[in-house]
This record gives sequence, C-alpha cells and structure tokens, in this order.
Amino acid sequence: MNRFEASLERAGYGELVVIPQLAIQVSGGEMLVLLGPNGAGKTTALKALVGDVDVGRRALRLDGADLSGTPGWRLAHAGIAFVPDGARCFGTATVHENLRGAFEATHRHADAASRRRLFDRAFDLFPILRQRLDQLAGSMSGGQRQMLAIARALMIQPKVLILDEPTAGLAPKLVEELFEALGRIKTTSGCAIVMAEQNFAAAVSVADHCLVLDEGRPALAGTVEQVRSNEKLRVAYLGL
Amino acid sequence: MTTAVIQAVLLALSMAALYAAVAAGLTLTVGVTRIINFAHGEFVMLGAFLTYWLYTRFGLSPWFGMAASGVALAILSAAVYRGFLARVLKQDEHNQLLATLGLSILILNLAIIAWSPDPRVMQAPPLLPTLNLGGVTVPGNNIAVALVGLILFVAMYAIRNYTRYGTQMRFASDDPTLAAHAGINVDRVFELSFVIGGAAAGVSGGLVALVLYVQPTIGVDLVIRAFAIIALGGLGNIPGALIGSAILALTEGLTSTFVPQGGSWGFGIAFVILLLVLVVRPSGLFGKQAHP
Repeated sequence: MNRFEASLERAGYGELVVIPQLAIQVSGGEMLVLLGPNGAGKTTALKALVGDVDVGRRALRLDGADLSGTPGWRLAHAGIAFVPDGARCFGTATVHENLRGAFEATHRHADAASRRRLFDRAFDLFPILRQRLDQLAGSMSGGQRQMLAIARALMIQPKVLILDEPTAGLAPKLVEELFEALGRIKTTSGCAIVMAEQNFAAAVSVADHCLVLDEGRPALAGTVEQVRSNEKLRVAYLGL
Repeated sequence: MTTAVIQAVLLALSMAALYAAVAAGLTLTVGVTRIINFAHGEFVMLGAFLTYWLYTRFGLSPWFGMAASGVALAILSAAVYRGFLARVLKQDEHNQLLATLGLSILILNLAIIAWSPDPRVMQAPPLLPTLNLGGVTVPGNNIAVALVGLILFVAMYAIRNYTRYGTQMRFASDDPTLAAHAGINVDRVFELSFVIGGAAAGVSGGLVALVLYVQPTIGVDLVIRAFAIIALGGLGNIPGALIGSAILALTEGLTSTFVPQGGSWGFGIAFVILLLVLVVRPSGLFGKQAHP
C-alpha cells in the first residue's frame, strides 16, 4: 500500500523560515511532483521531510506507522529513501561499493539472493552501471552519477522514494531516460515517489499529482490533469 | 661496513613497523572522523605502561600485555568518544583540535604525576629468538615488533577496505549526510573507527615497551612521527603511510648510526625531508592532490 503522509511546520534554516506550513500525501505506485521556480522552497521541503533542515514540527506517517521522531539515518531502515540534488555519490568508492554499501547498511543479515536481485534490478533500470561497476563514482559524468544515486536509493528497497531535482543539469536525452526509469520504478516497485522538479513539461509525463509551491506556500495542488487545465495558475506559476 | 649498514637498515625497518602501527590507527581515525587526535600518542603511552606493569608486577608475557593493552585502550577510546569527542564533533575544527590536544596534555601530565617522568626498561626475555645472518644480528624483540606492527597495519587496511564496516567508514568520511540517507548511523561508525584506532594504539604501546624506553613523554615523540608519516603518505592513504614510515625510520636510523653524533639530530633530518615533501607535494607523496 505504501501510503505516505507528511506535514511540516516552520521548516527552514534557524531563524529563516522557508516553509511555514505544508502537508503532502502520496500512495504507492503514485508520483507527487513538487513544482515551482528556484527559491520556492522545494528543496527545503524535501530536506525537512528527512530531517536535514530545522523544522518546528514534523509529522511523518508511513502505512499508519508514526515516524515523526525517527532520526534521519533510521528513515532509510523504515523504507524512506532520499536522493538529494547534485547527483551526490560516495566519490572515493566504486559503483559496486556504492550499491553494496547501501544494501549492507539497511540489511543486517546479508542475504546474497536478495542482494543479487536488487543489483539485477538496478542494472535493468540503468544498464550503464553494470559496465562501470569498478569505476570510482567520483570519476563518472553527472548523468551516470544521478543514475547511481537513484540505484543506490533503490538498494534499500524503499517504500517511499524522495528525489530532489534529479534531472537538473542533464542533457534532454538523459532527462527522458531518467523519467522513463522513474516511471518504471513507480509502476513496478509499488513505491510512492515524491519529486521536486523545475521541468514541468517533462515531469508531468510520469507524475500523477502536482503541488505547486510559491514562496514556501502551496499555491496549487491536484492531479496533473487539474493543474494542466487551470489556465490562470499555469501561466502564473509555471510560465506555460 | 656493509654488515653495519645492513644491520642499521634492518633495525630501522623494525622501527618503521612500529611507527607504521602507530600511524595506521591514527590514519584510520583521522581519515574517517577528521578529528586530529593528538591524544593517540598518549593512548600508545598508556599501552606501553600497561604492558610494562603487567610484566613487572604480574610476570605476564608481553604478548598478553599487547592484547590486554589493545582491549583496555579500545574501552578507554569508547569512553573518550562518547563522553567527550562526540560533543565537540559538531563544532569547529579548531575546537576539536584544542579538545584532543587538551586531552593529550592532561593524560601526559597525570602520567608524569603518577609514574614520574623517569624512563623505564622492560627487561623481559626476548619474545622471539635472535636472527643471525652471517654477522648481521637482529634482536628477537625487533623481529616481534616488525611482525606485529605489520600485522596491525595490514589489519587496519583490511578493515577499511574489505569489511562492511570499512565501507560504512569510507561513506561516512566521504559525505556524512549522504551516508545517513543511506541508512548508516554515522555517529556509531565514527565511534567504531575511533575505538579500532584506540585498540591499535594500545597494541602499539606494547610494541613500544619491547624496544623503547617506557616513559610518559614517549607518546608525544611517537604521535609527532605519526602525523609526519600521515602527511608523507597522504591522509587516509594507508599504504602511503607504510612507505612514509620506512622513509622516516630509515632516515632517522641511518643518520643516528653513521653521522657523528647523529643520534641527536636524526629526528630533525627526518622532518627536513617531511618539509621538503610538503613544499613539493602538499597532499603527500601518494595523496590525492585536491581533496574535496
């Protein structure tokens, strides 16, 4: 089922509150995309979900279980994977070590069969990773590192996958590839996806729900269809 | 003449293994947590005293002393990390530096008060038979030091590179925030690396008792060399530290043996070499040149 509900109050950096209040819900097999221009608070909202920024109040529920007080590193064990922006990887480790390390961190009793299954799934989504297994992650291109970052998040077998602008700075062809992969993750793994994105046109090809942020406040929410048909808001916030 | 040279080289290499053992524990800790732990030298000194007392008071073999020192210093390291370092870890680097320097001075002075600054010699029977190769003799204790030092060194390398905790240590030092998102308890991983480094310091202390004077200031002498070795080899580069140890110990040993009155300035020459290396290659002989 993987129903994920979160609400935030006063998220930001010390005295600076970026998100006064925000609530999101997303179910397994669905993607919620956070839209809005630079500085709208998309990144802050996602970071607040996983406890990377200061937050006045944070409530997280996953399938009814209350994860509000769970420290950041334990969220991965609870099935919440976060892929921060900038295609961050463990640069001094190889592709294989990046994936294996993430698997081992969340699977206490290493089970070779399920590890192999997860590796195969990652290679199936991103075939290039199989060829680059022994390459240091830091020496790969931005697009490859982004694929590795997503593959690494999948190694924890997430119920919720939170992605911060995964396509930023990528060539159009890679953007298309990445969204295609995210679409497959959504439909085949049953995980719920929350993604911040600037590229509305590309994001709506895989997203189900939209939430438009304007200066930290939700300006518009609904299904992709509803948002697409709302002429006035579309022009005002998305410039389309 | 040649026998004298070979003899001096072999003795220097056994010292290199001792330096490498001290540096290996330190490079694991510093490489993972980025805490410059000055107190590592005092941990070594405590290991030396423990091995010395266990032998002189209770007649326990230095082999046992080394192991006991490893365990004792691992426990002390855990206490120091939890009670003290975890609290300064989130602060500025210079605060961490002052904290470990303060701890180092505190332990050193407590040791001087408790045990006096006098050097002691542990007159235990050699742990291994003397090696005799056509006129060149290497005392058994030096062989033991070389062996244990190398084993310790290889163990640190293997833990870091071939175990699941080693991978987590490298992740945590690469990018602590990202490591937490991957499900790693970064604080525990830092503690673990600190404890393993402490255990290595304890065992190295046992080695010190075998071949050097046991005295409170021995830790300061060794930790300075260990930092020099890490600088030579490149931070976090464990094989680089091995080569750095050999360079330092050979320069020191050969200067002391063959330069008239070189004993007093062998150490100084080694540091002139260090300075020259740092001028030419600021991240060490084998370090990555631009560390993020």
